[in-house]
Amino acid sequence: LSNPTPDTASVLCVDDNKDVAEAVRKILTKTRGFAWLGTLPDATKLVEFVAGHSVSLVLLDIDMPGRNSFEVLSDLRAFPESRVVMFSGHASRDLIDRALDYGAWGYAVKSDGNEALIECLRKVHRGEIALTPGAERLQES
Amino acid sequence: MPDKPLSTILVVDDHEPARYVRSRILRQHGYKVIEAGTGAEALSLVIAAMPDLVILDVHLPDINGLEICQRIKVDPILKVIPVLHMSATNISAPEQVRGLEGGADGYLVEPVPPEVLVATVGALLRMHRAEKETREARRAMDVLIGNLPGAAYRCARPGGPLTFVSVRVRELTGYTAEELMAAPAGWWDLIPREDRAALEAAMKSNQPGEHSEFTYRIITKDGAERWVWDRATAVRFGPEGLELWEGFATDITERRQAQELIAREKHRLAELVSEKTAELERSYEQLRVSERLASLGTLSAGLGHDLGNLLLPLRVRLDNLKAMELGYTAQRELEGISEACEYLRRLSSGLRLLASDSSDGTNVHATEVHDWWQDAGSLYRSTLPSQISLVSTLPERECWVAVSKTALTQAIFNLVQNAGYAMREAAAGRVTVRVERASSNTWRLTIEDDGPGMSPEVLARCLEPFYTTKPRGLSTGLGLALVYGLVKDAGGTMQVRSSVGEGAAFEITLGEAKPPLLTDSAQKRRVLGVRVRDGQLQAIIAREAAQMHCEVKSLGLPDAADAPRVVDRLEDVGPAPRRVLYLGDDVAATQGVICIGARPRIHDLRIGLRQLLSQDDGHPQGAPP
Repeated sequence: LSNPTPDTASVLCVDDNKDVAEAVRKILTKTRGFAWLGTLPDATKLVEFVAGHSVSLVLLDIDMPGRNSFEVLSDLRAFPESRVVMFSGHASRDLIDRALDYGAWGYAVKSDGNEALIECLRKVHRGEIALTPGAERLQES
Repeated sequence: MPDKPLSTILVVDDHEPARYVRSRILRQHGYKVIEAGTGAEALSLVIAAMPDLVILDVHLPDINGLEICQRIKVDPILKVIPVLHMSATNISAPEQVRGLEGGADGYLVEPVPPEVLVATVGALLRMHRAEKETREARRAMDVLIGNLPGAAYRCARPGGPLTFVSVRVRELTGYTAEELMAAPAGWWDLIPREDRAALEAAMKSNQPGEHSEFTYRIITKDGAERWVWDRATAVRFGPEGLELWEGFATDITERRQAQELIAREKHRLAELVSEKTAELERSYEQLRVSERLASLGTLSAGLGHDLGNLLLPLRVRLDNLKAMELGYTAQRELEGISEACEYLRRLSSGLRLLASDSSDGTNVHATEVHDWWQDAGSLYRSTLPSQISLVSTLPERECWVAVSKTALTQAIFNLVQNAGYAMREAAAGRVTVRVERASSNTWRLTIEDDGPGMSPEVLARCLEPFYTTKPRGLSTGLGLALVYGLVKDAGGTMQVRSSVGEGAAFEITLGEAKPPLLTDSAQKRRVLGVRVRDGQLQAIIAREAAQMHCEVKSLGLPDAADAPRVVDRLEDVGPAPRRVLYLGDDVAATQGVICIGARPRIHDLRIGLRQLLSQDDGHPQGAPP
């Protein structure tokens, strides 16, 4: 089932918080296996960007001005080779289920830390659904 | 007296001159006089003319005057006519007595001086008129009483026989007037025995001549209870003399029933109003409290979120700094900052735990206490005043308690916070959280402080909702009640020990829980074959299956002709049992095939998978042909 891709994952981060975006950039640029594509401050031009570039992973913040993230998520179904990981400061069982229903591959809680984020992105790139521990805890039942 | 109505007098005497003289005198005094010479004539004139007075000579040739008088007096109509005997021959006392006893109203012995005759006639006529008026009044009274809805009565004393009662008493009591008047205790027989003393006392206290009103029950002839309103007057003659009671009693049962109904309704209404008011006040209080709790929840959720957002860039920069070639001191400083960051991270997850709804049913009812303390401990530490230390004593080995992590966090948070508040003015203090075994299948969590303790009154009431010893603005009074509720919901118990000066200890006993993820190697491995085109959906199924300890095997991509063959294909996977969860709308559900839509929501997918995997392997259902 798993589809191991030894190749590098190209990552696009969509977050209005410049500090967060910058932090993600720093983590990913120094971690092997990831190629940094850049940051979008909101999701308005995301679909356009994904259509025009080769994007493996999209790290998509949930609370942003501009287009609703879930709406964009649903649009991105048209690009199955670009997998979306929702990226948020908070998590709830509802939010996670909704993200997965709309086609997200992962859910990363920002406060879970660098390692958790990297692990989550790697898993998704391997073809697994991945949640960081803060989100995983809510899924246990 | 020409304007006075003319009275007719019949003068009866066989002796004509005497009759003439008497008639003349009377005519002169304004009377109309008719005359008769014999008894027979007299009787027919009495009947025909109905005179106002008969002057009757005792000695008559045909019928004796005494007999004529008797005949008049026995006739029901004629008896009202006064009769005056006059005689010149029957003048002895016994004869006069006989005449008067025979019914005559007067007896004059001749010779009678004219003025005596006129005066006697005048007196008798006055008497006759008075009698007539009395009769008239009595008749009018009878009509009046007969029309009144009730009974007029008279008796010698309360509880004495009735000397009079009007006919309509029958409607009121069911007894006829005669029946009641024959009863020795009269009206009293109608009144229930237990009511009599009070009524008698009330009646005796009333002053002679004064009207009094009484309301009491009577029992009618057919056994029914009626309420009576009685207006009575006592007439007393002399200090010890005759007492006479006159009254009028009427039925007020319906009025009374209506009044009682109104009173009851009024009472009920008043109760309802006060009940609703109290309810309103309560719900207002609850609303205020829950609003405050909700805003506290929002605040801590927001705080947790923002903290998390800040921490990520902070940690990245720290990592970058650590990677640089820095001196020893700088590295140590960095480690300090990292520790503080880690503390903040735990605080942030603690805050999120505190803010989430512990009752939403999605939480796992098993919590490992060490894991819990990692997040919750730092949060608790931050709520205590700086001079109060927080100490934990946890079991050495893994320890699972049957309560959700959020509920446990919130419950203990309240207890720790209360302990901190109790010791806010102490120079130093300690809050201890201890987890130890209570029995083979329960754990005891003790939260103990060395603060001022509780008085017996406070101890007795401390678990009541809205009870608080803190100022209202600082406390909802819901804390301990909330803790108690959380513990009870988790199937646990809570006990409080405290006395003044001895601190307080809350002991929570919770059941032991099984770790939620069983990696039981003895469990039979199951294989789930997956044939789904959508990569993300396939990944989701793989993840859910893994959580249900199920091995996943890809069956390749589906094609259009798959639907009829879905069941057969499962033979590739392994031995029976074979069941199918079909993601599509074009196959009817048959035995062994569970159908959910083409693009199921994750929630429905989970239910479908659970259904698919939960069926007992030993009893395959609907094996394919």
